[in-house]
Amino acid sequence: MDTKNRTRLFMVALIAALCAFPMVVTNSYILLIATLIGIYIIVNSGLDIVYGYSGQITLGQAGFYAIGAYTSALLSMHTGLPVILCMICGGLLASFLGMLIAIPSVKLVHHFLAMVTIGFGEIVRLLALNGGELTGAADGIPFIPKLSLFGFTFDTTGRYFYVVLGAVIIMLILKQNLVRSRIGRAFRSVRDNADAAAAFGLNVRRLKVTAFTVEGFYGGLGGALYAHLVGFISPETFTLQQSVLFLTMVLLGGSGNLWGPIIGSVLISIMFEVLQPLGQAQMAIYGAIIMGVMLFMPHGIWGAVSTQAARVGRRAPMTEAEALDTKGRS
Amino acid sequence: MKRHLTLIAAAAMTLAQPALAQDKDVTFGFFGPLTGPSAQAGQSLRNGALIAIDQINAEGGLLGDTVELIEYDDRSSPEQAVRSATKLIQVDDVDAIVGSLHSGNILAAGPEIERGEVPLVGAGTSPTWLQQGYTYLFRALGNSELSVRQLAAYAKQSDLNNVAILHSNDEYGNSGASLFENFAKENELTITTKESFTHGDRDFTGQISIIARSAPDVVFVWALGDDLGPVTKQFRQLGYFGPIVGPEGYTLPEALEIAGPTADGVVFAAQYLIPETPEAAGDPMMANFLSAYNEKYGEMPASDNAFRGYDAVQVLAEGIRRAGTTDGAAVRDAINSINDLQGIAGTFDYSAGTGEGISTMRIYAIKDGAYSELK
Amino acid sequence: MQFFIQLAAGGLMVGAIYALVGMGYSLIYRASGLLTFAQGEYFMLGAFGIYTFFVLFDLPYPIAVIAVLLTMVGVGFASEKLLIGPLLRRGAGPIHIVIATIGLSIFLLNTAMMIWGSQGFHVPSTLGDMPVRIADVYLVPQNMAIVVIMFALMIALHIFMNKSRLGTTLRAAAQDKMAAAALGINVSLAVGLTWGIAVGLAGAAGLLIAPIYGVSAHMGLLVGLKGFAAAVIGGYGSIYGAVVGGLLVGLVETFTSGYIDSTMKDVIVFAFLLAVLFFKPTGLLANDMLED
Repeated sequence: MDTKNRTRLFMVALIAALCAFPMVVTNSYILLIATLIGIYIIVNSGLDIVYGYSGQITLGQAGFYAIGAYTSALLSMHTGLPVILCMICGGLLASFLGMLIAIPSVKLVHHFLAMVTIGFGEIVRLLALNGGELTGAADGIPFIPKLSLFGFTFDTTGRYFYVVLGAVIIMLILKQNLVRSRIGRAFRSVRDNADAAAAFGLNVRRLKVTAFTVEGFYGGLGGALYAHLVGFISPETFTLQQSVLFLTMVLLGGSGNLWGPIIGSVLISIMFEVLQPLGQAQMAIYGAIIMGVMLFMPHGIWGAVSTQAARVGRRAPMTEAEALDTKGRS
Repeated sequence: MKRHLTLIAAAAMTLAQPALAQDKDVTFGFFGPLTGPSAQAGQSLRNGALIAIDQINAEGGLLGDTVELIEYDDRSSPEQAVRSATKLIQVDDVDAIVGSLHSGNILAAGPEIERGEVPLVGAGTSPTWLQQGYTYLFRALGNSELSVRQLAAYAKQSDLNNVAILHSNDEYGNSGASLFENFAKENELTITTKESFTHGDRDFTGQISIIARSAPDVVFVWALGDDLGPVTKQFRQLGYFGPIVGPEGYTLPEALEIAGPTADGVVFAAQYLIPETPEAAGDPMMANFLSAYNEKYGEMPASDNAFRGYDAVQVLAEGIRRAGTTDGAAVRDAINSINDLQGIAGTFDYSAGTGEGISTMRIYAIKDGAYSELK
Repeated sequence: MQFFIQLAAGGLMVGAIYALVGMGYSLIYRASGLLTFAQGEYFMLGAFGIYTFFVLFDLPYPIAVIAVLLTMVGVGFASEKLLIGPLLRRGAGPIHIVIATIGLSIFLLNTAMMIWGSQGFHVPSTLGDMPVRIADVYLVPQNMAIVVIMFALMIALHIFMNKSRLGTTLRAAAQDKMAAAALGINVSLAVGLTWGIAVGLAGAAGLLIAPIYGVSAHMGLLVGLKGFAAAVIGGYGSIYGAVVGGLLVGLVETFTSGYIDSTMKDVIVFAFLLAVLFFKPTGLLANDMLED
């Protein structure tokens, strides 16, 4: 059987295994972690579109996550809209705000863009913190309603797992369609060489904004799913640390492909659970891992695996002077 | 082949053993900040609980079983609190829970606790988490409503009628500030201005300048212990030398250390103080506790959360004894029947059914780095 | 009026701290075109440094200060040699350096908590805690000293970079690595030393503010971000820009707190930063200052 069919069979088998998962593993805590991993996969896949496919650094994911979560929570509690619509609204609002922020931002690169995205994320969090009655301020919003579809309520983690699984599958299919389309190819041209892309007539700015807009939806939907899973949100969840965590997952797993964000989300989540007994050292190790990944696996696990499979000779290591000269200013 | 099967069977049995043993012991769960800025308080809470558990085990355990404590770090984060609570209830199958000391975290974990039907005694002082209708949550010390009411009354008695408020913009600070506004109205005090700051921030020039300009007779401060030192010091540095009333965070050693002489003139409400030595404790129960703590950990507790942890376990243990079982609903009802249990905080009385067990609070003044109780 | 001056004094002091941290960012950018996210944690380490040497080891204050500064310069040098250099040699791009320094800052923060503990610590001020009163305005000597010292360091840095041989060497290495190497300059050492100085500046800010803010592991987080904002607002890569940016951020923050709303203090600072990035990304100080 050829590779394509083999991959398809693998996917089907994987999905079937995941569908059986909550029936085999009834432990509510493990299901919670697994469902959260699913949510992270959605957020990180969106992040991957901006970082991996269009080459822009962003540290504002927590902002989209927050917008989606708060929007969905508030809509579901103050209006009669069914939760599923509230979630989509959350995604759309995050997407829209992502577009607004992106428009003036995409002319910036690297550290400046990073700074803008950090500023965006922090402003969202601070507005939530100071939002008084509306956002619940520091107390947060408790008792967020559960999702119900056609009269069936997803009130246990096991049931909600299926919702998230479905969302993951849909969002990943959409992502693959996007990156394989013309726009996806255009993203990659921008990532690899923005000037050349412009020279070839691509509207670089519009493409970059599009990437952020898409990321916004993924992040917002993820946030909404989170809100209705945990039932409680507060500004403390949506910090810069959370954005860094998302980016770390993408970096570790490998960016610019389907599996990287998935692998990263799974590994980091498991790592945190395993390291928990170590207390303070857990976070120090997390920092060390980030440095290690940058040093030894800058293309992430998927990147390292792919390069092993298709090794094309390695260029000689540069001296520091050469590196600084060619990479330094941009 | 047969040897392999036997090995596998043996392995399976050994793996199953701890699970079986688990069912036999009575297990208490704990979640609180064991790392992060409130780590000292969180560790004190856990240590205090362990002292109580040691004592119970030394006296034969609960219902004939040894008591065990399973602890998780909630890292001062509500999300982590929810996870910890879920794990304790779903994975570890605990019979009772102590924690957290962050009221926001107890609030976040509330639904899970209630659904899991596991009694919890929390160490946070904000009234909010006992106002949501949860039946499985209890408190083993006075809440901040008691503290604030007494401080407002103190201000009135001392003829300090114009009050300025400075609070941290978090769950703790916000609830204290709004409580004070209510009691100020009752006591006919005037609020000259109300300012807030972000927990952890260290520059309060703007807020304090506004407060100083409003010429209050007294300032009401409400924030966690780690903020209080810099806040108090900056009040004096920006020209406000008048009295300050505030929360039990002033019992934290670092608050007094950082504030130094600027803490003179501070009056605060607290359930209890940590004396210099176990012998200096007036209450024999506290003295015994402190001796045991000193012996086990080699030092006096850094935070009064140690007392809270000890009392929490006592309340839960008493509930289990009275119920004669570890069934959640029975223990909950048993705790509600307690009206005369001695603890370090005072006499516990849960008969009102609100989950609150203590209804008195003490007031202390600071002078020359020393505390003295005001009657 | 007194209110205004009181706020301005406070804003200048806070601004001076941001300026010191920001100068470090700008220096690193000039030396290697790179961005680091770890300045906030170096600031925190400087504060722990003075606590360790002055309080724990009980050394005389001037000796303690020198010890802290030397340690921080060493730490900066080591950071460059152990992390940044190897990353660059492996062909890492700016984004990888950014992420790596984020990892470094997380590592430093939590290691500090493991070493010293997560509570707050007190460092007494050699100039006393109590303010002097000048016409209804209360000024704390330590705060005033910080502003003065910041300006002194700014001038010293300028003199060092422009007038001294070592400084000129560093600038040469920053401007054109190949040419400098060709002239026999040890580029690797020069870059390392520049990082050392940048980190030393952050450490100096930490040791100066320790008696005022207290010392705790989390003290660097927000200061690091605002110091970075200061560098960007003033003109990334410019020492004077960082100073202007820092003072500006400090003043905006304090005046917002005093005249508008203390809860919006941080939001306004970030909004200000975003505005500068959108409309004048090279910073408020015009381009020609990038070459100073």
